[in-house]
Amino acid sequence: MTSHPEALYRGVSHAAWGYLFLYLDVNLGTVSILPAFVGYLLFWSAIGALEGEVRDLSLLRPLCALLGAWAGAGWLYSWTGSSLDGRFYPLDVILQAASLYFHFQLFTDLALLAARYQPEGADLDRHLLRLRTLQVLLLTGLALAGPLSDLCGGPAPWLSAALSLAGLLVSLALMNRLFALRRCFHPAP
Amino acid sequence: MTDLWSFLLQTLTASGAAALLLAVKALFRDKLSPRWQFGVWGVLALVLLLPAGGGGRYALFNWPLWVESAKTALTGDYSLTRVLAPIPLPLGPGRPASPADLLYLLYLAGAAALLLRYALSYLRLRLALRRGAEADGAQIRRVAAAYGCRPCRAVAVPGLSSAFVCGVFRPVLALPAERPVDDKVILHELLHLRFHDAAWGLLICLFRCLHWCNPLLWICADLAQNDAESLCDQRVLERLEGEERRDYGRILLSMADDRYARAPGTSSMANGGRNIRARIQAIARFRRYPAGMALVSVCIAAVLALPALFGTRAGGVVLGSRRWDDALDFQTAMASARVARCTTAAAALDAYGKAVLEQNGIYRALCAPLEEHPALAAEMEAAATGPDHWVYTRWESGLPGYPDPRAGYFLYNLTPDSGGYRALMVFPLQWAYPDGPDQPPASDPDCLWLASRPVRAERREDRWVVLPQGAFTLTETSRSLDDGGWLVWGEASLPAAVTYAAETEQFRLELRYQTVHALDNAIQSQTGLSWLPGASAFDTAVKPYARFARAYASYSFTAVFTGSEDQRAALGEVRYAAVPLSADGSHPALKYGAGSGSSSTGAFWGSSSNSGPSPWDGTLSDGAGTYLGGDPNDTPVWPAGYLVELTAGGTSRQATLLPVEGGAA
Repeated sequence: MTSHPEALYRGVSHAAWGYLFLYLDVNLGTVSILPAFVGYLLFWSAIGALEGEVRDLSLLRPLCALLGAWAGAGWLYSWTGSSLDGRFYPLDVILQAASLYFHFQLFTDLALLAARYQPEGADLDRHLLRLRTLQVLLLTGLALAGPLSDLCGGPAPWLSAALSLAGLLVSLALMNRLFALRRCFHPAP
Repeated sequence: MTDLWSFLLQTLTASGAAALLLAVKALFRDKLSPRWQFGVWGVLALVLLLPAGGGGRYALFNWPLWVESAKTALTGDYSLTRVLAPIPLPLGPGRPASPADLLYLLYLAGAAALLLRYALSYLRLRLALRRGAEADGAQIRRVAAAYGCRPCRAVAVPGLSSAFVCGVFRPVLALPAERPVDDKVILHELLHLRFHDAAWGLLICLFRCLHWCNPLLWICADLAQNDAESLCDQRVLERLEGEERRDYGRILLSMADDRYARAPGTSSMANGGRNIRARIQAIARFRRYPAGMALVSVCIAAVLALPALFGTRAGGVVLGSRRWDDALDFQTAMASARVARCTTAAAALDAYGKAVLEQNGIYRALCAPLEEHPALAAEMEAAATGPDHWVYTRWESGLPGYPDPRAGYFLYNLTPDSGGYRALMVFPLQWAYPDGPDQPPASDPDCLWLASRPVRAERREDRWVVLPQGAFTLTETSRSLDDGGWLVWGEASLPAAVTYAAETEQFRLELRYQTVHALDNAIQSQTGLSWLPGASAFDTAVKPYARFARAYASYSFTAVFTGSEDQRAALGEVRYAAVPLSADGSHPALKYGAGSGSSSTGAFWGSSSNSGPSPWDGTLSDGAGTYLGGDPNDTPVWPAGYLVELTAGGTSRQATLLPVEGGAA
């Protein structure tokens, strides 16, 4: 282990709580009280804590900064009662691509960490990889749902709703697995 | 591409996709594999091969609107730019008529010259290879056998600095005559051969010719060819082990100072010092791509490809700054009306109705045939620059009065007609000019005036247009001035979709059938207290892709006794029951309910004691309305006729009412 267990514990904790901010959306009016940019700040902190252990995590810093900055800009803009969604369509496409890679790579690296430190016989790494695959497929489905609906001549709200529901279930499962991974690094009393 | 504007549309659309790919590739430069880095150029290749702006869609950026706006602003041309093919086609017959035509000819000449230059360069290379001696094939065969590649003919050419493959259909491996070539270099070239990289290079050269004046696409072409080399390096490294990989890097390094001349239909391991340095960096990252990247690579490519290839529908008309004192705003708005076409008859009729309500020429342009756009634009420009200084959108529809924007319009009697539809568009008026616009308006609060105009919707190429069929007619109703919401249930003073009639013993029977089709045009207006629903208002924004949301049907039935007054007095109470007939003659059962009424089957019934004055004056009248079942966008089907039974004095008479006006005779 090249990092302290405390750092690993903190890194995995931040990643898990980051997903809470990312996936749960509780609004007061148009303003989210669980803003996504806080999630990316937590991911940034998690990358810092874990990159000594998993070198590939450092590749995610630019993407984390980009996604976090855009989420922050969107949150600030939401105070005006409007949304940035769809205003800069090409940028939305770039961010969707960035987001796909970011979450895929983050979970790949966390699964690597799990494979190293999980107790004998535990399947945490395989669970994380499976959920990662499901998550990337769902994110792709959500990203494609809009253009596909437009191409087919009308919105398909049931499709977006179904994908969102499935996304919520997968994200809850992911958080559960991350908190399970955190227990592998629980500091000794 | 048949003119300068279609070329601009095609090349700008490709530029948008190229800019997107460059941004994403910069983001993923050190994250995704060379396979992805090269493969994702396929998205740009497909964008270049698909005609831009098809079906009113645009990719990523609204280039059609910008090109149309520029064309109108610079040339005053209101035609719609279409890309028929992604390759340049000759200018139409006749001499070039404008600077744009001359520029297009210049573009054609440039493309032809570059194509010729590439062809000559390729021929020169093949001739040079002919002069080379046949190389010893033993090394080629050995390397090919060791790595599962297909060998090819090889020639040793004096003066070559590095090996390369030349040709797509009869490839030749050219080797330097003066020095031995490393097996790994041979492997690199054989892998180019195996994966048809020379053919990709040829395609890239063709794109260079087609878009020779677009520097962004040239940069992409350079990068794509470099990515092809990086991918080939990756494939070589996947086949080598340990020290061999380091050797391969050293060989690449030794080529950093080699001269690099890119020729069509060739692939060369040496592609210039700067590119080789980038490839060596890629080799250094070789092990850093985590396993399982294929899935996310494909997902990212799909997320990029779908919007870049199929694009987005033009959202509607662009009403600019809404100051309407700006000619450029006006030209942009007219351009948007060309680009955003109505895709349904419902949308076109809705746009026409709103054009009349708002007196908005841009809305009218959205649903007008393209050939009418120049005249429409001239009319609006004349109004804007004339003595009255109307806003640029001002359009005179000929409506004999002022419409009520709260009421909107009503689309009566939508009927299929030779591939299109005809209908009657009805506008409730706030006040009307029955004696002409120069006379005082009729402003009786006890009377609602209606203006109606027959219209026809038909499909012209990929858009629905509306053609007025005659002038507006003013109709005075017996209702007091209101928003006319009741008009969905029919209005006796307006024409019928179908009139059914029949004569029977002592009775003349008539049934008038009307329909009203409507879109969902209700919007909630804001209130001060945001959690309370606002009042419903009519949405006057046009919706180029809208469909009908509802349809209503109504009938008014009259039976007039034609006998004498004595005979009428002798009849006593007259009862009636009627049912609609389907095309095969079947019908629901006739029934007499209590009093008067109707059922969901279309049957209705009543009697003289509740269908007229007392004492009975000899006229029976009845009427009702209902929602039309099924999808309101389906072709409307009227009843083929009505079966009516009259019972009086213990005697029953039956009559079949058949269409005498409208519907099927």
